[in-house]
Amino acid sequence: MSKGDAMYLQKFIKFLFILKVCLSLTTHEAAADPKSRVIEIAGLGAKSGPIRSSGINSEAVLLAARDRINAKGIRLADGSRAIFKVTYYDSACNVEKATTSLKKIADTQALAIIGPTCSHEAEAMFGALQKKTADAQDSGIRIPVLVDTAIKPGLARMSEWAFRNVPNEDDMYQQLFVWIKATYPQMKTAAAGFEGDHGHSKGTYLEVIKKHLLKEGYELQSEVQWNMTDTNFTTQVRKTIEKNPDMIIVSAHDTSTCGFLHELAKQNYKPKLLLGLTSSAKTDLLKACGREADGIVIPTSFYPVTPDARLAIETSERYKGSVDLHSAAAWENLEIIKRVIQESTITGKPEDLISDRQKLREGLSKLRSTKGLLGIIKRTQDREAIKPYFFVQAQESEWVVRHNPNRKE
Amino acid sequence: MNSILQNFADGLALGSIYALIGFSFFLLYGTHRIMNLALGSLALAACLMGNILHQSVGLNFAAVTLASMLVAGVVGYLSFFVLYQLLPDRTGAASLVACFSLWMLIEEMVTHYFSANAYRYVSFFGLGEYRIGTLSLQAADLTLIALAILLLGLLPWFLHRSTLGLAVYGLTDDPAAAAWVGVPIRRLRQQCFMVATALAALALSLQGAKLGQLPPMMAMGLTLKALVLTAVCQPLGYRYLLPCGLGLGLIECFALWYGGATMRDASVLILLLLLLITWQGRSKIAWRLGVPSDSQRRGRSE
Repeated sequence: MSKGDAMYLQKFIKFLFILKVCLSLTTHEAAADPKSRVIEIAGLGAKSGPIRSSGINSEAVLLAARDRINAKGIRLADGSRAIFKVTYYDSACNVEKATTSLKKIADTQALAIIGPTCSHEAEAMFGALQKKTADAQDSGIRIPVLVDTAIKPGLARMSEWAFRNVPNEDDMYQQLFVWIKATYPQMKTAAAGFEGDHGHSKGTYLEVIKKHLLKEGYELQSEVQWNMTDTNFTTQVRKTIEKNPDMIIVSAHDTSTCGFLHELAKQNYKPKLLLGLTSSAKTDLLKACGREADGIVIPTSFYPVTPDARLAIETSERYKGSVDLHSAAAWENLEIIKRVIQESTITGKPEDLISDRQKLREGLSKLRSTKGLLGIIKRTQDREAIKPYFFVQAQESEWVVRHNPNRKE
Repeated sequence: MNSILQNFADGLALGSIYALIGFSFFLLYGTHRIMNLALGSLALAACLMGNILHQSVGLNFAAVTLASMLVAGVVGYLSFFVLYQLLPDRTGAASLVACFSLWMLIEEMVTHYFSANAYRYVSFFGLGEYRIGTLSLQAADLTLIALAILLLGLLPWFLHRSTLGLAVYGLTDDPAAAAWVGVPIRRLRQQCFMVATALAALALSLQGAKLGQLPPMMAMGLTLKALVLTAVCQPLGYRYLLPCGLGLGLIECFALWYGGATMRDASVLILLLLLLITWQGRSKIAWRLGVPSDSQRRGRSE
């Protein structure tokens, strides 16, 4: 390296250092009221990778919920006031990162974790938690984890420290196919495509969608799969439309769903009905491929029908995130934690962290229903949730409710 | 029979992009002896920046591609400076690590600064599918195939008949000898970096127009496949880039049709593994094809 190059490099490094110092002086978090106790909550989600939108949205909504709660504060049993401090960690939809983050968070002052994004991360994390609280020999990690996004069925059973606030996809898709049968009686055939390398997309397709599709008597003409990072769908689309199916089911997240739909449009094929995966019922899909996704029907547990839902949308915009069925659960989870703190003897003091985590876990276990953004959410014995949901359809780059199964007709 | 012919056509289109990006890698490896792993992500970033013109002002594919190539040339020059000039050790591990770091950095920056609606790419002059009987191909695919055949077909003429081409060929063969006869090595290397990045941007722009979107993860897949191609063609020479690239595309398409996504990925990796572990086998293939080895070209015995 020449002398000139070395001097240039030194100046460049100095510039980067000064930039870092300037950036670190700016902060978005309001200064804490010195009289309020600070209760730390950790968020964990995929802020990088193919489904980074999920983590970004969850973080934004969590921060918005924090601001709303901190405006009035949390009432503690000893009469003092507390506020939440939220730190969001990036797990990148990666098992190793998620479990490392879990261990790291457990060593901090965080009372609970809200997350993660991906189902395979949740499986790995729950495996590291203490299975049964009565088993003193189990040296697993003891911190409550409230899931907002990881939606693969039955995960909360893995540990008594795991709680999920995710919709029941089995029920959603069962009702969806019943509704399709009644609404579109002329449809007989279907073809499906799914992300073969993602636990949720593959698991939901194979264990839920396909099961109910065949149960309602539809003929499955073909199945194709792709990877989340795939960008070329020419062959998959050709195989899907080969036999002219009435219905095309895309069990994938928004980026690869858009890729598939773009290719479908390029090959000039318009199916009579398009169905999608719950995780794709978000504004990001419509922004990226609203025209191609027109008409897609997806079951979702979030829609701005209530004042609380609309408030969540407005306040989350400040943090550049959007509210969808996954990130809405992050808001609800923080409200649930607040409720349990106020109904218990949690102190929020650093020396009481272990007992506070136990109290939070016990409080969460006793809940039989909670208030969600769309209405009452029932809680089951195995720490899962039964949430209200809708069937929404993309129409002119907006989600419109096609059917409300919660309303008894 | 129809699916075989259609897969053949799709495979040619896919292979063309591998051949074009593979040539960019080949050019950089030949002139600098470094595998610029950041090439794909630099070209992708350039295309997304060019696409801003379409999203804000409504410019067409030609203008967007030209802008992307110009931006790619600039970032190519900057990356030459960062990856080549500033490093104390310009070959070997230092440059490979630097390339990998730049690749990851660019990909993260693209993911953070371009939101999902920025991935929607300009269409190829509004042209759609062309049908010949039951066969169909996108207009962008046909252009890609034609471009690959044209550029790589003219390459031998360029390298052996033109002054600039001879200088590049000399640089790849023996930099010391090239410098001795007056070839401006540093300037030529800079230009190769810029041209390679611009060519990769051209290929990506066509691919983006065909797919309708240009998501960040596209760079990784194309980079890996182009690397496989470069590794395969390295002992055989640049003349085999096009047939090897088209062959790779065909293998992928047929493996995907008959075996699914897993078989597709496995087939490419198995091919690479077989070729790498039979290094001597590749040299034998080169010998059978009449391609002289490096030592034979320099007149030394092996």
